[in-house]
Amino acid sequence: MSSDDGRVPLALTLNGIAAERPVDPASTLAEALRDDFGLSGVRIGCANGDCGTCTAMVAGVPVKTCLMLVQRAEDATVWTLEGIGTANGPTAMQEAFVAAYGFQCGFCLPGMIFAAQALLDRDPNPPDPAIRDAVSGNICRCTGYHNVVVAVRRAAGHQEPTDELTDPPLTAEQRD
Amino acid sequence: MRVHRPTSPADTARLLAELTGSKESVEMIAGGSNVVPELTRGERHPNHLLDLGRAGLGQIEMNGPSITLGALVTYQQFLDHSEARRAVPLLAQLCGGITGGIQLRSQGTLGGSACAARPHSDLPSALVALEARMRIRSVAGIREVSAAEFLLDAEQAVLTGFELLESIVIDRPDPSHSAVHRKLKFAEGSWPIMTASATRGAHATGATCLVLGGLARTPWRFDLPGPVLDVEQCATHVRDSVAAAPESHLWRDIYAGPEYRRRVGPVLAARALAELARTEVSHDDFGSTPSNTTGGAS
Repeated sequence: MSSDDGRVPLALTLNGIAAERPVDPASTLAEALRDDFGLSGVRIGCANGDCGTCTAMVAGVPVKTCLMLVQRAEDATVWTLEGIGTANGPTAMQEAFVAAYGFQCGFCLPGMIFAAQALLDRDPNPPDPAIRDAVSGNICRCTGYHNVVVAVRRAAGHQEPTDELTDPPLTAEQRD
Repeated sequence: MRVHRPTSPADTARLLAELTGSKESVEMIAGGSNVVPELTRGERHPNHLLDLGRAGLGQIEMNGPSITLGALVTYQQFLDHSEARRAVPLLAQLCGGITGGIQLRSQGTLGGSACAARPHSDLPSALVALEARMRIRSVAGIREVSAAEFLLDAEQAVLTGFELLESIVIDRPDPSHSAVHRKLKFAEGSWPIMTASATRGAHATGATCLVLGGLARTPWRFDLPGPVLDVEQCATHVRDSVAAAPESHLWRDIYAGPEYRRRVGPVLAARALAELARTEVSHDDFGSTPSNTTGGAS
């Protein structure tokens, strides 16, 4: 059922609270979360699924909300940055990013936090290649990524790098 | 633009027939990673969107000698299915290396990628190497075609306007087979330039099969002399075949032209074959850490 302007009701559990708003069914979840539900913790950096700053948790899975039609989130449990910690009560991952200088401008931060947390939820003690892979869908223009990795290591409870080269360096012959 | 949300494959086929019969334009959305950005940018203006998110296409079925992957099975879903992952290590390697991080692996679908038929994307070469069968549904029923037939041309699958890809069927490779999926890309976040999917002993003949994606408009299969894998001999065969191909046969896009692909295709093939020769695949060992990327070759 839709209203005269074509908008349809969307009900979901948003940051722990039941919520419903009329949405444009042709919009993305990123647009609806920002424009209809009033949340800015989901950001639109590229609208192409590259930068990852639109990442939110939908039904327990980190997704790029700029790639998701809004009704895919119907009846789902959705978490955005607003729902996972506060300035006075940050999560362990948020604390780790602060302590490790894992961000500068902060624009990429929501996506980094969710991608990293999704990794630790699967693997509480990931090696560095797994950390880099987990955040590989998130672009950061500020940090050079090293402190992002340090932050996730910190959140996982270890400080030492665990680099494992997975591809041997090219030989001179292979480089020609 | 009207959004429809069919609730079963049959419902989807019925809607497709009804809407295409009305001569209005229809787009289907699987994972959304290809189509949704184009809608956002205004590059596509369909009259109707079919959102396949609840059309019942997301199952993985282990059916004895074959595995059926619903068109909306995501890369991460495949990785999380331990039996499927162990049975088809080539696909597991591919899924673990999908660009875009854990988000894209959780959203991108095997069926969506197959239907997009982009030469440089990860899946096409693997589907041909696995001799996958593509199950297509319409109101007229189900038909099945080989992956090679399905990938009709660059960015063109064999589907008519009233058909949908329902599932991908893979015959279980021999458990002792070896498999390697490698790709060439210039940066972590970029699309592949080319892919190489190689298997040995996967099919009844026991031979080595190498498929290069992104070299030509459709995956280029090389059935290589065997059963003993002579890497040098096979690499020479690939190099000679590629050298003889007319330029019009080779793929070009914004990432690389045909002559670059002609040069790097044999290199990628040689590396994949070399790895195949020394690989004894651990069918348990595929998580989300990519190990199949070759950095940019000059």
